Amino acid sequence: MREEDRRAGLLRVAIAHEIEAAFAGVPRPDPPLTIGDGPIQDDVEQALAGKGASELTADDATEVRLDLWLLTPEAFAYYVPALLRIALSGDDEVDGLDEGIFDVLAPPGDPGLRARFDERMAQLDEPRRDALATFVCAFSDEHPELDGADAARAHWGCG
Amino acid sequence: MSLDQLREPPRAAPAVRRPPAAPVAPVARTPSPAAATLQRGCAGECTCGGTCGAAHDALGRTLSAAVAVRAPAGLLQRLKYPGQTCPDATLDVLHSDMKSICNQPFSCLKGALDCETLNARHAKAIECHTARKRIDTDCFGGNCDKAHKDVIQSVGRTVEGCAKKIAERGC
Repeated sequence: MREEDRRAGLLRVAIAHEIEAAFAGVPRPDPPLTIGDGPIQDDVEQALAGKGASELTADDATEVRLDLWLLTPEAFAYYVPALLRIALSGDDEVDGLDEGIFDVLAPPGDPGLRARFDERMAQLDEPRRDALATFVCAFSDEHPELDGADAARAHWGCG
Repeated sequence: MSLDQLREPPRAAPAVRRPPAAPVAPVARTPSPAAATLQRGCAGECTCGGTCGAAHDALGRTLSAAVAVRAPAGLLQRLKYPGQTCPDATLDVLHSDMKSICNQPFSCLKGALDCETLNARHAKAIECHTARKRIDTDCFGGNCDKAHKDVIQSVGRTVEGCAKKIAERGC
């Protein structure tokens, strides 16, 4: 492994730990964990049903990775740190998980989606927002070509 | 935006008016005139911000019940979800197709992917996007459930990301 890759891996793990520590006190939400009513919501509910954040597996993450906008604010605060741990640890590669998490952390242009984003963020205290900012800034540094990268960097105060 | 601004109370989203729903997909049942009126009235007022809410759900249940009462024996069924316009069996097939497509890898972000892989992933991302849209158009009249539309858009951003990468690389 190249030294650069090794350092990048260590940085990712450190970010995941920082986020998990910041979100440690978030209570496990009661169902429903999703907004709306449909087959995709049911998939997410089934994947997360009865699972504590530390019990989430790569298969669960694969199941929900495209659907993180469906989570209630409470489920978002509880499960997203665990999903970030899976995305950043490198133990099990879950295609598109980090991209899916970035997508829900980049401020959307759509007014309805923006209201949901603001609702989620409003419930987080400063240490939790700072921990998420660490991920957003590092990820958008790595992938400046991503749609919403500039808006995310401005929103999260990345240097 | 600064973190201080984030602490402001969330603003209510402006309602986005959408055109009336497309005609209900062919289902082997005909709603009564009263049920059809209910359906048209709701669709006309419905927005993708979910502003129909409980009232729409209640109307949807009334409509489903009205449709079910008129259905021939053997076809009696309640649809699984509010606003659903296709039979459950059709929805199950589309949903199952969507899952088998979307659970395959299609992110174009990881590592230095070659042009062949990028093009293949772009094609898969388009397939996933199409499969998700199809559930909306074929089984929900292309209307309502803002949450579902949001996750369709999310996959759309992956499609755009792949296209951008392919263009940058000159593939």
